[in-house]
Amino acid sequence: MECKECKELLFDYYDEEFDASLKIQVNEHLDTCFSCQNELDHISSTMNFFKVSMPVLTVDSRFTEQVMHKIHLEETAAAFTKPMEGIGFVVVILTLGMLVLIGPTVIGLLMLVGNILLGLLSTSAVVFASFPLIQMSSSIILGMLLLVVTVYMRHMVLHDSV
Amino acid sequence: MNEELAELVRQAMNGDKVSFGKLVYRYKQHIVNIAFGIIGNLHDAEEIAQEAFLKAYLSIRKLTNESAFYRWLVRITTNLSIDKKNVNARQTTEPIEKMGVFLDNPGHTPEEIVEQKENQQLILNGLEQLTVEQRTVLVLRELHGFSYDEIAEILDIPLGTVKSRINTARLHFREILSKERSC
Repeated sequence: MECKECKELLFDYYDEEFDASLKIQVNEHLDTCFSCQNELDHISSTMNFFKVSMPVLTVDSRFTEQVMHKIHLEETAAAFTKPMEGIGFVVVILTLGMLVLIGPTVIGLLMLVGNILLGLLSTSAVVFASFPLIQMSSSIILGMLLLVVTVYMRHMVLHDSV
Repeated sequence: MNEELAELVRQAMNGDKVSFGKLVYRYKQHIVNIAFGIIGNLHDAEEIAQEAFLKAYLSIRKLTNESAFYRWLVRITTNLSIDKKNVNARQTTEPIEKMGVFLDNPGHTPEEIVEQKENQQLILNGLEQLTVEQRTVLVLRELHGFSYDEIAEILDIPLGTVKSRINTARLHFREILSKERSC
């Protein structure tokens, strides 16, 4: 075995992640090669220094209590938010249902009001009607704003209570 | 995994909080030290460990095999620690005296204690110069004795990547320590 090949295998040798025949070959090379033996010693001593010198922390005796307390708070928060999520879901469904039922009337009314307003503000109406992109981006921005507010409120309920 | 421990995990998987508390007690030292190895900050390590146990409790029903509990817990811890380390990438290691670290392995004589503190600081400074990926594999392999296969499972990366990452980390760490020691 050549030094180059042996050096590539030294970490596997150190980890003993080897099949027996390869180990015999590396052993034979190490018996005769000072450079590779030196390299292996250097790896072993560095890793040994690491293991011996790394601080090992002693954990505070209250650690378990603190974890169990956090679990208790999380469960309490979940007991509050889960029914709220259910109620929110029902409210959304009811609102959608109402919109479907009375939607045509409401939308017709809104369109009428909108047309009157746009008629009054003729310049703005021209700009607004000419650029559907403005209408679309307004809707997207409004939607994003609602989403951010919802996520933020959920975050506050879940995390501030913990 | 012995039968008593498997039973504790089974009970915790069925929602038994007392059993989960016993698991926290049993593994807290390991988990805090894994987080500390990756992050290098005592306060953050304890916080991450607590968060890891909390996450584990909330999702323990998803665990399919009780013998995988510890590796699964380590996986949660390493993911949280790596995220935290990436957020605090520019944070430097505090001097060990300021950390208020309670060591499990203190020296015996005053000279030993001084030398030990210097060596500990050297190690922590050295780890800080590795990438978080290198640091993580080195800590899992050298300090906590996980096999290559287990590390691949914990980090969800291929076995070949684990091997090359560990070897690169060792070479880099050796260079860093040689430099630091010669200063």
